[in-house]
Parts: sequence; C-alpha cells; structure tokens
Amino acid sequence: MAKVVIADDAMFMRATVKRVLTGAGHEVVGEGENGRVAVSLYSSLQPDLVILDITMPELDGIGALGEIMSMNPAARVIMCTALGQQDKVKEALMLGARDYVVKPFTPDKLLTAVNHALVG
Amino acid sequence: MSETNGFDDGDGELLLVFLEETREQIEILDNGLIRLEREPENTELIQGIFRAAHTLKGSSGTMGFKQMADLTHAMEDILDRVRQHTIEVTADVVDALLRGLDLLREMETSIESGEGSSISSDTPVPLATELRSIAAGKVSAPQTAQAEQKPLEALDDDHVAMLINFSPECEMPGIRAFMALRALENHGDITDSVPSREVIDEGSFGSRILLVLSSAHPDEVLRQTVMSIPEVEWVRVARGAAAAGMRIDLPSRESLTSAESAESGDANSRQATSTSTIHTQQTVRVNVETLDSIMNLVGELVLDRTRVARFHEDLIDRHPEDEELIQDIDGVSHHLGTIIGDLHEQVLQTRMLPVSQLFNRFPRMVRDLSRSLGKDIEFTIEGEHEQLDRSVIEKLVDPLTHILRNSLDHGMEKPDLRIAQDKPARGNIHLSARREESHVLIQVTDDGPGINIDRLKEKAIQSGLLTTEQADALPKQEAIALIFQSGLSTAKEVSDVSGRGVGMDVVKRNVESLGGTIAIESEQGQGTITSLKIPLTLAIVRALIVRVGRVAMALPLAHIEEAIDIPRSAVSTVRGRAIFPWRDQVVPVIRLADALPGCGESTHGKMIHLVAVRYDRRVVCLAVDAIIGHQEIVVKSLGGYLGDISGLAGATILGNGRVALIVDIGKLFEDGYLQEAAAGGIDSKYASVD
Repeated sequence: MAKVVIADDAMFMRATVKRVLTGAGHEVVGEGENGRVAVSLYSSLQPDLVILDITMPELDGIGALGEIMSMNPAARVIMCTALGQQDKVKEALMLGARDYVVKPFTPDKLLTAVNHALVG
Repeated sequence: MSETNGFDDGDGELLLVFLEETREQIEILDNGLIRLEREPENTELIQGIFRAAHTLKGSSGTMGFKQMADLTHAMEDILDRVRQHTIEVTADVVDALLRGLDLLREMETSIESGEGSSISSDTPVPLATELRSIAAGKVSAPQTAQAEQKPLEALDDDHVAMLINFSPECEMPGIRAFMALRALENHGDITDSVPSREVIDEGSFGSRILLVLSSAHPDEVLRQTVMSIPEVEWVRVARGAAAAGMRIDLPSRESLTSAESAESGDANSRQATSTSTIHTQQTVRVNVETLDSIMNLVGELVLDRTRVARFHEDLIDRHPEDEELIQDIDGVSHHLGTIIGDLHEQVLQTRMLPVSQLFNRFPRMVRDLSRSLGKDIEFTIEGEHEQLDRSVIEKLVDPLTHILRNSLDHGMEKPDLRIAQDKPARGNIHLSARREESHVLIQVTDDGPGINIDRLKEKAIQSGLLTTEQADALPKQEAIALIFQSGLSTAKEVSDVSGRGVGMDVVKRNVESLGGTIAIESEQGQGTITSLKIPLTLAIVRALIVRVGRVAMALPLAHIEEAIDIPRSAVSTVRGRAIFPWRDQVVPVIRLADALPGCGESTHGKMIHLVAVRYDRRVVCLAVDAIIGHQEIVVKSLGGYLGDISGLAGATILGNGRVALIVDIGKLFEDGYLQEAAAGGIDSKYASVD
C-alpha cells in the first residue's frame, strides 16, 4: 500500500481524496493546501505518490510538479483538474505527471488513476 | 437524500465538511465580489474569487449537487474571462455574479436543512444559463463535426492501423489521445490520423481516433501500449492489407455514447443502479427537527417506563393472588424497560457528533486572525474525538469563537513584546476537550499576559458597578468574574476583531443556556484558562430530587457540591443571617422555599437537609425539607403555565407520575433571589431554639 501526499486548497477535496485512499488501504502521510507545502512535504516525507490539484494559491500544481520532478524524475504524481484545463493537464503530462483525474470524480476513477500511477 | 457519487459518507461527515467549506467560499465570494467592483484590476483578488468558485464547482459536483455545480461553473466561466481580461467588470457583471451568489446561498441552506434533493437533479438552473450568456463570446464551440471518412485502403506491412476507442465516461478524450500518441511515438512514427493531429490536439473529436503508424513492433505490443492508458476501452489493430476498410464512422460523441451503452454498457449501467440502491439503504439523512421530536417522544417513553414499573408494584400489592397476571406483566414490563432503555441510548447516540466538528473550524480562523494581527501563534487541539449532542455543538460555535478571538486579540502579545518579557516569541493557544462523567470539559489555555485585574476593577469603578472600597476588598476570583459583566472590556483600544465589550457576558449566557458553566483562571504574566463545562445532551439532565413542603424540586447536579443532613444547631446566625461552616469556609444558608416564593412551604423538623450549590466561585447551602435522591430527568418546558416564575428552568415527571420543578440555580444567583432570601433572615425559622 502506498504512502500518499495530497495537495489541494479545498479542505473538502482533501477529505474526500483521503477517505477514498484510506478506504483502499493507502496511507495519507501528508496534506497541504498549496503547491509550496506539497513540495516541502514531498522532500521531507518521500511519499510513493503525490496527488496535486492544479489550481492552488501560492504555487500551483504545475509549479509544484516541476519542482518535485526536478528533485526526483521518477516521482509518481497525479494531477487533479477541472474540465476546461486540458492545456494544463497536457503541460503536466509533459512534465512527467503519471495521470490525472477530472473533478468531480468518483472513487473508482480516483483509484484507477492511483493504481495506474503506481503500476506504470 | 443527496447522492454523493458513491462516496461513503455514512456518518455525514463529508457533507458537514462540504457545507462548512461552502459557507467559507460563499463568504469569500461575498466579500470579494463587492470589492471587485471597486478594484477590477486587483489580480490577487480576482484569483481569490475565481478559486472560490472553482472549489465550489469541484466539491458540489463531487457531492452530487449538480445544480450547484452547474451554477458555480457558470460563475467560474465569467470569472475566468474577467481573469483573462476578455470581459469588462461592469456593474451588470457584478450584479449577475451577486445574484448567482444569492442563489448559491439558498442552495446551501436547503442542503443544510435536508431539503436539497432538487439540487441533485439534472434540471438546468435558468440563472446559470443566463450567466453563461454573459460569459459568452467564448462559449465553447460545438464539437467539430468529423468529416465523413473514407475507409482506409490497404497498407503495406510496415504500417499498422489502430482504431482506439475511449470510454464514454472519459471527460478529456483529447488528453487520453495525447497520452496514446506520446506512448506510440516511442514505438514508431505516426503517419496519418483521423481526425487530423490538430483536431486531436484540441480534443474536439468524438471518442475514437484512427491512427496509422509505421512500426516494426509486434501488433500485440502496440495494442498493450495503448491499452495501458486509462479510459481506453478497446483498440483494434490491423496491419498491412488487413487494414483495408477500417474507418471511424460514428460522427458524434453523443451517438457513440448511446450506441456503446446499448451494446456493451448494459452490464455496467445495471451494476451502477444496484450500487446506488445499496447506498440509499445504507444512509438516510434525517432532519434535525425530526431527531428532536423522536428524542422528545423517547423521553416520554422513558417516563412511562418508570410508571409502568410502579403499576406493576401496585398490582403485586393489591392482587398478590393473581400470580399468572403478575408474571405476565412482570415479563412485559421488564422487556419494555430494556427496549426503551436501548432505544433511548440509540437515539441519544444518533445525535452525538465528535467535537472535531466544532474544533476543526478554528485552526484556520486562528491562523488567519493571528496573521492579520501580526502575532505568531501555535494553535493546538486535543480531545477532538469526544462527543457532544449535535445541538450543543451548534450552540458552542459562537461562544468558542468569541473566547478564541478574545484570547488572540486581547490575550496574546506580539512577538517583540513576548521576547521582551522572556517568553518564547511564539504564543501558544491550546483548545482541549475531556469527558467528565455527564459533562465535557472544554478548555482554552493561552500563555498570554493574563487578565489585568487592576484594570478590570478600575473599569468596574468607572462604570459605577463597584465602589473603590468594594473593589479593593474583592477577592481575585470574583474580580476575574467581573469580566462577565456586560460592558466591561479591558482592551485599551477597541479592535474590529473582538469588538467592544459585547463579549464575555454574552458568552456566559450562551453557555448557561446549554446548562453549562464557564470559569476563568488567570495568572498575570502567565496566561489564562477558560473552562466550559458542557452537558453531553440538552434533553436529559442528572438532578438531585428534593422536597420543599409538598413540592418536589429537581436541582441539576452540575451545580451541586454536596448534600448534607445536619442538626439544626449546626446553623448559626450572624447579623441576622444564617450561616454554616461548610468545608473550610462559612457559607450562607438559605431556605429554597424563600428563594422561590410560591413554590412550596417548608415544614419543620429536627434535622436540616442542606444542599451546597456552587455558582462561579460562590457557594450557598440551600435548606430543603427532604432529599429524595438523584436520577436522570427529561427536561420539559414550562411554557406559560406557571406564569413568570424566575428561577425555574422547567419541569419533569418523576417515576411516581408526579411533577417536579427544575430549579435554575444560575438564575437564582444572578437575579439576586438568594441574597434577598438571605436578608429576609433564616434565623427566625432555623436558628437553634432548643
């Protein structure tokens, strides 16, 4: 089971993601409300997977992804996105994100993305 | 019922978080939109508002509140255009957004009151359409109709055709196609595609793409490469001559979706239906009012149980010969008792929520506030798993918010001042909950400067509350209690955080209306501890039942220190007032009958039964005619039946079917009844005559 860090500025989304992951046996080892926090959680906790929201204050998901990938090019990151952010998702995938989920998502979709990112 | 898209929200905790955060976001939108009109160029502001709408869209969609998601999506569209400077912030635009906000508020309220079912429906929101038309000009172009495609001709053996079908649930097929292209480019060159690469890049195609690839890799490897991409439903691979005739022939995504579900999606949709049925059975959202009335009914049952037990005893007394009947009734009465007991417990349990529901809102508030006040605060929480009745939790929000704000605003020094006082620069505020019998003790502890007692006294003198002599003689604890007097706020300057003195008196009243008590301990220079003792539930109270004349009275245990029987001679009289040496202090003795005129007339016996009651730091011994015992009582409002008798909190029905009046001890102290009764002199009735 994977150790996961979640970053989203919405507490509700963090709670939702956490519930789904915990329910599937994963362990959420850190939560942050912006990209800056996500990067520092990544470097201190060395999780197996990071789930990054794209739209966040201070440092957005793309910025955080860039910093995480430069720390560890093999990092496994999933982006959380909303419809209408295709370009951002594409940018994220080119930077090395493993997969993405579109909000609103079902637990199944999230877990599929998580499994895809962990296996691939 | 709200459908939560299959998330397990059996305890409704997600819904609560959702509602709480929705209110926060609405607040952000509210403040932001008004400012936006004045500061249309403030990019930070616009980003903040946009994010709020964006967050709401995501969470309401996830919770299954489709109409709310639709509305916030439309608002987000406008804000996005504002953000990109492609729409001007006119009064009309702000007006439209504010109307959206009003509707959003209404939706939030209906969801909160459990009437949000229509918000989960697919019915479009007219206002959202209107908002979208404002954002228009950039309304996403209808998907480019795919040109009719001729079937592929036969290829040579170096080339392979791949028809890739994405799942109908795939929200961004453009991205999946992009991933497929990237993966395949590692295995060969893409020489042709239907639709064109540009159309694929834009994502404006149905859910299929057809690629022609020059690749020497085995077909199965290519197939697996594409299948490993999520949301790829199937891939058809044909090499060389076999590719002849392959075509994309479903023109739009919609028709493909319906065709697919008719074909293969059947099993899936059946599965989806049954999952949602199961979900419905697992959780039911109940209106709090319904819970309240169930609680009330169970309260009645609890009382009836006691009465049935009594009838049972009567029956044994009167008809001891009818053994069979007695046995039957014995069985029924016992069974009824057990069931009612369990029912009672279950209903109480459904009303309980973890204190975290209350505490979780504070870290953000403390962080924001301390930042805006320029203070460095470490805020810690403990015991958030303790449980309290839902209505108690709701009613604690305001008092706790106030206490924390007070603590931050008046109670904490800025870092430089703390360093000057040899304290760590960072201040600590600790919020804790701890279960104590039928109460939960909630404490806010800070290591701030403590309450300035001299200044409090000064204020009390200025406002005419105390004379200088009285103030000088006032013991420390009573001086601290001055903070609960209305109009006494000691902060030198009034700030917009905790305002002007509307503080602790209101807090105290709120806490007491819950049957709780509040106490403050403070050490100058070291800090302050504010303690709230809150009953687990409002509906049921543990009380000591006493008799005054022929009337039964219930004294809530929260205020009771001790019940004692003493000989009359133990009460002595000093300056016309009856006193009794209780523990290591001398406390006044007051007849409860005198404190509650009209509620009962005392009889006289050799023994005096005293109940020591405490309020704040004051202790008084109430003299009653008999102490009957303690039990759980169900509080019933007196309504207007007894006129305006101050000092009574309600009534309850005892096991013998008789009514007992519930004494509001706090009120007795506050309204001065006890002082009057004491001044009336107990000595003529109780002072030792023998």
